[in-house]
Amino acid sequence: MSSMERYIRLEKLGEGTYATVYKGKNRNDGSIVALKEIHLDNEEGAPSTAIREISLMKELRHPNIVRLHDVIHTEKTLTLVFEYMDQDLKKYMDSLGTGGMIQPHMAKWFMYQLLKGIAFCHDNRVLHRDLKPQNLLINSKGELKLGDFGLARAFGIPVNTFSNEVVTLWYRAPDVLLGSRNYSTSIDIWSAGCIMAEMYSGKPLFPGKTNEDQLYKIFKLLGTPTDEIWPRVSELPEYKPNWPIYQGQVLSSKIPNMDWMGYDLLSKMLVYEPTRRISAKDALNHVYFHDFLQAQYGQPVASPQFLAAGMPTPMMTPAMMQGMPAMPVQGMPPVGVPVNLAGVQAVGPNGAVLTANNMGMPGMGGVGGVNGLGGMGGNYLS
Amino acid sequence: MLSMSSIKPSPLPPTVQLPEYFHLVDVNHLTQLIADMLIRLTSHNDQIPLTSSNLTRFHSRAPPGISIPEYLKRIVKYASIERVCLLILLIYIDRVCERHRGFTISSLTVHRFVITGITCASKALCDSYLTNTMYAKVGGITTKELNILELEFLFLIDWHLAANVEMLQKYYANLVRQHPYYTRLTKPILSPVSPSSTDSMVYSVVNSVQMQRSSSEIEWVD
Repeated sequence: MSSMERYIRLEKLGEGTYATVYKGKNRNDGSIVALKEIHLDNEEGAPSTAIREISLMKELRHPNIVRLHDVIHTEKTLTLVFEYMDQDLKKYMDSLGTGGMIQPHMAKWFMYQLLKGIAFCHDNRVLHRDLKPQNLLINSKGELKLGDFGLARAFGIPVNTFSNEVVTLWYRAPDVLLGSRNYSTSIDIWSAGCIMAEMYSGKPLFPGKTNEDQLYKIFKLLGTPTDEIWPRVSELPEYKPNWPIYQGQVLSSKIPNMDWMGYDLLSKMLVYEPTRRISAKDALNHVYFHDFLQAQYGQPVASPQFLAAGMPTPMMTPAMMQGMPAMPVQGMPPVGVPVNLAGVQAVGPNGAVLTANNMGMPGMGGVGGVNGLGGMGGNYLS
Repeated sequence: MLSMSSIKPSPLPPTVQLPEYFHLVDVNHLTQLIADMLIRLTSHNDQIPLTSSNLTRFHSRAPPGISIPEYLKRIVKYASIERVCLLILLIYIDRVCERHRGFTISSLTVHRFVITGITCASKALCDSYLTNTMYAKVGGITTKELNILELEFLFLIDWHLAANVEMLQKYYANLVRQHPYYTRLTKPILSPVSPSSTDSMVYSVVNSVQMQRSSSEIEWVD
């Protein structure tokens, strides 16, 4: 049994811009999966979001990154088979009945897992570029995993085209808002800082309506940046010398319930100057997590080996689970690993079987003289 | 900074010095280097007899009328291809041939492989890229065919499209080393390179194809 026959499609979980997600069941072992169905466009072919998501997720295997099990190709669609997760962090926060606030120890636990996932991506030279609560998936075990790698890309490879149309506005780093195109891992850290604040306060930290409004919301909390606090900010493409001057406020004015170590870590994630923003690896070693691990395990800071082992399930005590409802469905599926030659054969009748009679390719007329491609000519490959 | 010679490659040019690192190389020189590598590869593989079991969707009925260098130049010119997306073609050839011993880059397959590989590389690695319709026009095939080839390629290579800088740089260094008319500026003291290890890397494109003669199994053709 191969391809889609292996899965029974259950209810629809969600609909994105280029994909529809269903809950699915594996006929072989009864396991539940998420099926992300991607429509294949006649003009675009396979969407680049799908190509990136698949090619990057195949290389990223980590307890805090949603696992891609398989990629299946049928006539009109590409189906990504993901590990099933109960819901996303946004829906979870909305379901708590606390105005979105998560209990501090639970927020810390999610933050720890988020940073683990980010650190792994960055170690493998992948930028996620779209971290937000909707793209963080959680399950009933309290595990949190990074999903939706459709905007992700490898970094370190020199290419000329680096878009600054990345990351949902509210979670977008100020350097990107100001037009920087040579951003790196620090943009994911900014997003993580915004998510951290949102878990404690229940509200998005910087819910801007436009690019400018987004910047002003950041300035109001952190102060309007100058060349003194952010060297060479005035050289960025979108810098304006006539920005309103804000002095900034203390973080606790907007974010309640955080211990001083939390404020310290958060202030290191929300640093204007990208190169001085804390790395995911350093954030995991921050004293904020020491207290947390000590409380959970009744021992001093866990050893690096223990931390690397992934999800310490025993941490999920019944008390911690109180705020967490039995997860209703919904949630974006993750990304994964395609290995399916059967799918290749299924591409369709065109050219699938080459015999002595039809070895040639179909004619390729009508290419010459295309607008904007003068002199290209066509019919090269018949 | 490195000073680039503006000498254009010709049948018997003097040696052209190229920058040490691939991301600084003039795209026209890189196009020439890759075209010459593909010519050597195809002329070698054209000796392998074609059987029905060797046929793939990448095969033309006869070698296309446009030469490999002209075809590459055309794509680079009209689709403004980045260096990385050209250089990575060689890595893709090695990956596909390693996974599928019966697959060969020959005069019949090289054109379709090139336009498909460049399309996938651009969509995977660059933040600005064209539609498949545009790549198809530049490549001289229909959009419908490119869409089919694209998925064929993605499954052939098992979606393994990423490459790190070190690997790209190795391929670049070896590409230049193999070419009679190009040399690469290097700082030998800083980066001693063992000739044996780099040579085996250089020739892997050719070697992986040589082994295909013995393989008669092709999984992706009925």
